[in-house]
Amino acid sequence: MPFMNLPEDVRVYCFSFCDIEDLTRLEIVCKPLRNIVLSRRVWMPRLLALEPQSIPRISPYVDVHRLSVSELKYLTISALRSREAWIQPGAEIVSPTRYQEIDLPHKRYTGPTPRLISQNLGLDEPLPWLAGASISPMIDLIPVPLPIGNRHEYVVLRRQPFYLQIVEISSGKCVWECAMSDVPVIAFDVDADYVEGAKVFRLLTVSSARIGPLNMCVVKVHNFTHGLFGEVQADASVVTRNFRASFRLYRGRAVAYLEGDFIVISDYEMIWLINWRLDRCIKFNVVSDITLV
Amino acid sequence: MSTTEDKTRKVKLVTSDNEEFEVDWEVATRSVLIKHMLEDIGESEEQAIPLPNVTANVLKKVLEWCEHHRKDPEPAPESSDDNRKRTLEIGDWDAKFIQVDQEMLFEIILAANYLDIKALLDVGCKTVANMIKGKQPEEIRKMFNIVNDFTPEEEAQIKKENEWAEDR
Repeated sequence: MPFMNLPEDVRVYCFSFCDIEDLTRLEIVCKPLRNIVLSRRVWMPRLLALEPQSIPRISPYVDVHRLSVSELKYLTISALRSREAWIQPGAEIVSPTRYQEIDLPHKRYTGPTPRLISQNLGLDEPLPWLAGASISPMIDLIPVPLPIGNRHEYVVLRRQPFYLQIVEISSGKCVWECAMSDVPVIAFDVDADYVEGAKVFRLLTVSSARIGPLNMCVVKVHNFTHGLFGEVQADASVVTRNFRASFRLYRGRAVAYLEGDFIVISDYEMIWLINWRLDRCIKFNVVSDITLV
Repeated sequence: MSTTEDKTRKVKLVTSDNEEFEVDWEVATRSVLIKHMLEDIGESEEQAIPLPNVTANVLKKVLEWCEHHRKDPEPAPESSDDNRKRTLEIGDWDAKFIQVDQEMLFEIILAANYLDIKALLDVGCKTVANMIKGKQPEEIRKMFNIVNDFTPEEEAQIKKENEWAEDR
């Protein structure tokens, strides 16, 4: 009676006593064993049996019963690894699932210089926040919130002179860059809550542009979907909306939010409420009688 | 039936190779399957219970275990499954008991599964898990006589996919 002739239920039961290290090794023994190891029956009980201290990274509204086997496996292992990292203070290498240092992608920026940007925008002098670019390498970022912990997690980085990169956290790899014509990106935001279908998240970019004699604000909504191996990639559908910019907005003084169909852009004196899907824009003038003392 | 009767009552079991075993009720009913069968046939003694999936040499071994564990408390029903600690620990007596060749180990596991003796199934499956523990895929193949049906490329690919999961 060889091991492989034992009923599958019995083998699954044997594996319920195995460590996750043993399970990942069993995966490469042979195809039938890999099929057993990569089944819900192996990973679901483990995920559900996790102690409360090692809660996996799942948003409360995610139904675990609808997750794929590879997601169950990922969540279980990363939760255990994280726990191990916490309970072994002084471990030389801390688990990548909880504490990690990554080198930002070192890519030579080849887009327009701050001087050129100012010229293109028809400005006499360089924008002050761009002019200082060579001195202080200011970088800001927005994390991409995903509903469950995933090997592929991302941040959107803005680097001088205000161009965007999307970086995969686990590898530090740059997976997307904004078009050089969109530099400088004066405001940006990420929305991962209100996306539908295979889309993972949307990215909003707000740039200035000179179109004919007019100072314009260019609003773009980029869609990102899952690629073949679970990584994200931009799909071709970029929605672009142009509108007349205020003086402040044009000079890069703005904040922007993206939520579902709506975009809010504010230059602190005016607010634009845009429905990017319907191409509709409402401009609010902020009138204030309140004097702050 | 009363408990005093149970203690003295004998049960006859017949194996697939037609050997008959007479054991105490308390010993035989370690097996949930046999217990249910006895409940079904009721008081009619002398009726032998056929066990077509178990051979005599395996049943002998299984009964040895049941004999030693005849006084064990009934295992808690299903709920214990959920919060079962994934410990590989086996009692001293059980550890010695299960020191058999692979063939017999799997036969015992099969029999425990069929006869529904959870504690014995645990002992067997934990032993298998212990055998797997820490072994490289090639060692596992050798131990269980498994043919590697992956190409070297496929094997490398899976290893690469699992790299992130390694304990570093």
